[in-house]
Amino acid sequence: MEICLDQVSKQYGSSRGIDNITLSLPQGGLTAIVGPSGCGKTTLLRALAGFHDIDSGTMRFGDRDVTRAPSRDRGATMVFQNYALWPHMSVFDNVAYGLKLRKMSRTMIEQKVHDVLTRVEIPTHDIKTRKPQQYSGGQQQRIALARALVLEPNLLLMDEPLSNLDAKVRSRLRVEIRAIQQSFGITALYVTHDQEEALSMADFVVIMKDGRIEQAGKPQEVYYKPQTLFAAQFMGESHTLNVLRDGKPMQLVLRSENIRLQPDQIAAQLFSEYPAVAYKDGWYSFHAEIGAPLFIGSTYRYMAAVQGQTFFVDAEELYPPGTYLAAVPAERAYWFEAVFSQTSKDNT
Amino acid sequence: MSAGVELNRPSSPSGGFGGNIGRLAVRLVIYAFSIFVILGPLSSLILWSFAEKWFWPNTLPQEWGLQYWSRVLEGKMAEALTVSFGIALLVTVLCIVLCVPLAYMIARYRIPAKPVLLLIFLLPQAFPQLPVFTNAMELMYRWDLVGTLTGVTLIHLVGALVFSVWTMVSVFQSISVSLEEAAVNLGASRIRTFFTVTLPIAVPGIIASSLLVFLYSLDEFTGSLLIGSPFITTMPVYMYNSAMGYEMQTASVTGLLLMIPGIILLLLMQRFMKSEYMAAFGRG
Repeated sequence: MEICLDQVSKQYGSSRGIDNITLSLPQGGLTAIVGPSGCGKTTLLRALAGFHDIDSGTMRFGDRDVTRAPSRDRGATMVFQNYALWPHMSVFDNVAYGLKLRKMSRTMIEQKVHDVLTRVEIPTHDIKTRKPQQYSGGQQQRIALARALVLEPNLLLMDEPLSNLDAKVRSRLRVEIRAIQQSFGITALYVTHDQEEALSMADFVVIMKDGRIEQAGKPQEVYYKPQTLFAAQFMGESHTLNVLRDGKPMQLVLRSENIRLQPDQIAAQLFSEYPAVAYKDGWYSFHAEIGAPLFIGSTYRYMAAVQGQTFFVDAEELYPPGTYLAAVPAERAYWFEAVFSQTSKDNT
Repeated sequence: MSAGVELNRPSSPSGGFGGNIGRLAVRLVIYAFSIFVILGPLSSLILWSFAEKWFWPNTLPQEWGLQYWSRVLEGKMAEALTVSFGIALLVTVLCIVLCVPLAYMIARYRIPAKPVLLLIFLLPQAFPQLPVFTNAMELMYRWDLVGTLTGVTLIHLVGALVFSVWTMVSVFQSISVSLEEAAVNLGASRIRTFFTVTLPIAVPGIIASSLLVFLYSLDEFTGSLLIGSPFITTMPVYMYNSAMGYEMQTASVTGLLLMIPGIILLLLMQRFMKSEYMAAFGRG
């Protein structure tokens, strides 16, 4: 079923709202909404769940206009950040809750609950006696997932489902949730503030900021071809430099892993307030001071500075501190027009 | 981590032994002190309750006996006991019926003057009880409620509602909204959500709050004396009357009897009480 939002707006207190969102979710795919806190991603999710009315716009599930439909009639079930499993019910009762409301026969309910829990890999022999809080965090989130999936919803909504878990469990559950979503072939919307999570799990990534969509597209697209300054800055280990290109002030966004270092004895010459960036054979380059390396596992991370603006360089080789020529391939250098002044320089 | 613990274990017995004795001694002193502080004042009550003759300057009663216990247990005392428990039960039930919906609404919905509303509930507790109850008595006279069960129940409710509302609001606030949203999202109505999700989760807190209300009503004195007498005599009033008549024995027996439900209920409450529910208490 195709899920479409058309010019959806919701003002929510002072700023935490959504503004004129038009979006259609790919069928059977996982769409990730990513953005900093307060960007409106959760508001959008909750609007789709039907937890609050929207001010204007329409929402369609297939042919059906659900803009004013109550939450329970939408067939959009939700997985919460804190799992929201009911502590006074057994795991079986938790998962069966929605089915019981639909007046299904007892045997049918048993069947469905066992099936869905098996698919999310929760052992089913003791689910009628165990309470959710007796399971680990990762298992609880899978139970919550089962509770949402057992109703065979049109849309599965997930609100930062992994952010309460520790790093190891999180990275494993990412893969598991993705696999479960694909095996059910369900259209899913996944809200997260973690860009890595969004990139690794989603078929389609939506970057939001201040209640608006900054950029939407395939993960590779939004990562390698950022359309706006914010999208460029938000993804990856990005750094923004205020520089001069052909004498014109520009903002250059770099990713640490794309920067190559070449030893260079000539110290940077101070012609102007901002560093000048030169172009040659598909590479942009400038002089930078490289500090002591920091071993981060797969690479070394260097703190680099160019005329007071700092950034990181990730490289596999070990370099002694000194002046280097930092070079970035042209297709990995993201340029944005800038009218920067004395103050914007301090903000970098 | 567990490996580290294993490694530490062999070295500990020799070094830890002296430390253990020291710790034990400190603990014993603390226990002894608390027992003295708690039971010290009570011991005189216990002594008095078994004394048939005890005059100054004797350290211990001259004659011991169970006479006062038996007298107290058969006579008017039993009646006072029944009245007290009856009122306490009634007050508790009324509190639950009134406060559960009220507290839920205060906890969940945006109510215009919410702080003012909560303050109104706190007001009778903020002022000294005597003037509040004296004023209430004047009203009660006008409505012919003085000396009636209804009157005493109402005056108990004034204080009990404060405990009840404040604790129950924090009980409901401690229940995550997402638990309810999950139910609504899966197809339950608001009412159904309340009865299948919110209320069952709140039950331990409601029980704890009700036990407090019950104890409050059982021990309430000022209001009971002003509104109830001379026709309605609750246990605390009965105790007061006996003590005023210098019947130390009767007062002691009553005092000891009044402690029993308190101790039992507090032990019960410990099972249900979560520390966060206590947060709302001003006094108690």
